[in-house]
Amino acid sequence: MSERMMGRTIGRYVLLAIFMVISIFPFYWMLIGATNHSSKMFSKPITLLPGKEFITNLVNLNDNIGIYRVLFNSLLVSGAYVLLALAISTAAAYVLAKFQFRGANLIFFIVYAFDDDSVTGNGDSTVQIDVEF
Amino acid sequence: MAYSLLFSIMLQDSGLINNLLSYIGIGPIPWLSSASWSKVSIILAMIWRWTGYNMVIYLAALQNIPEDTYEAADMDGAGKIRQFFSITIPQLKPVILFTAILSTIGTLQLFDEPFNLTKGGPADSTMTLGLYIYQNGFKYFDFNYASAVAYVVVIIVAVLSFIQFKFAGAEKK
Repeated sequence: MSERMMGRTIGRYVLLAIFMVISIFPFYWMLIGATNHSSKMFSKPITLLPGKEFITNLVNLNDNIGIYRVLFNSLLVSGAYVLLALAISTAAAYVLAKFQFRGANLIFFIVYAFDDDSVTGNGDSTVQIDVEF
Repeated sequence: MAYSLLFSIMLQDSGLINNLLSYIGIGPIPWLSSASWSKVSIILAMIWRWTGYNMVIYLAALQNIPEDTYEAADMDGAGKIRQFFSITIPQLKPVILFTAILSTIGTLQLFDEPFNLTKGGPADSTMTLGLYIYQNGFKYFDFNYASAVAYVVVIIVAVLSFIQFKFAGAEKK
């Protein structure tokens, strides 16, 4: 490998590594936050290693909002949603794909244009609004 | 949703980002409390959130460009740059349009990020249509006004979708 090619390869990997760190770091930081005392999130020098407070944090979280109940709710809603959406969407898509009829394009466009995930709401923001009240 | 909470923790005045910046001698930046920096914060958070999603779409589209078109261009003596502008870009055009419209629609309805990061403030500098509808409808209980605004958003989104539908649809034929 010539020197120029080598330099290019190294440059490419350095660039990719920087982007990888940027994309992964917040997830790692979430882990740090979950296992340390809350004040460590704002401490200086910064904490970069997992701590031992995970169970304490979990217990606090459960006391505050009942995390297992909330998780179960999310699971129930998303499970029911997936089943219903699968049943209805596949049937609707089949009709629109296989049959030619007047207004088919209009129906498709309406579904397509009004497909709007902030109005239908994902499970998360519904929970958030409940908490807000 | 979860990521915007995470970003709001990292972007606090004494949060991680400011601590990191202080090591290289950059003073504390008012990420969430200044009118212009709060916009920057939301933009950064959204770029972090959506880059991967759009990248996967582009990756799929790039892999769908047949190798032989590049090979043929090579034989005709087209360089890498010429190939990029004459093959890659035209082949990606519907996908570029798709991601552009989708991002525009998604950002018009932006809610989670300003809700968690700035609550629309300071002084409405990060107010979005989504947050505006929420505040009018569920904070001030002015449902009439909120639903009127929501319909305006729907019309804008419908027009944008129609543009995308027209252009991307024409490409496929």
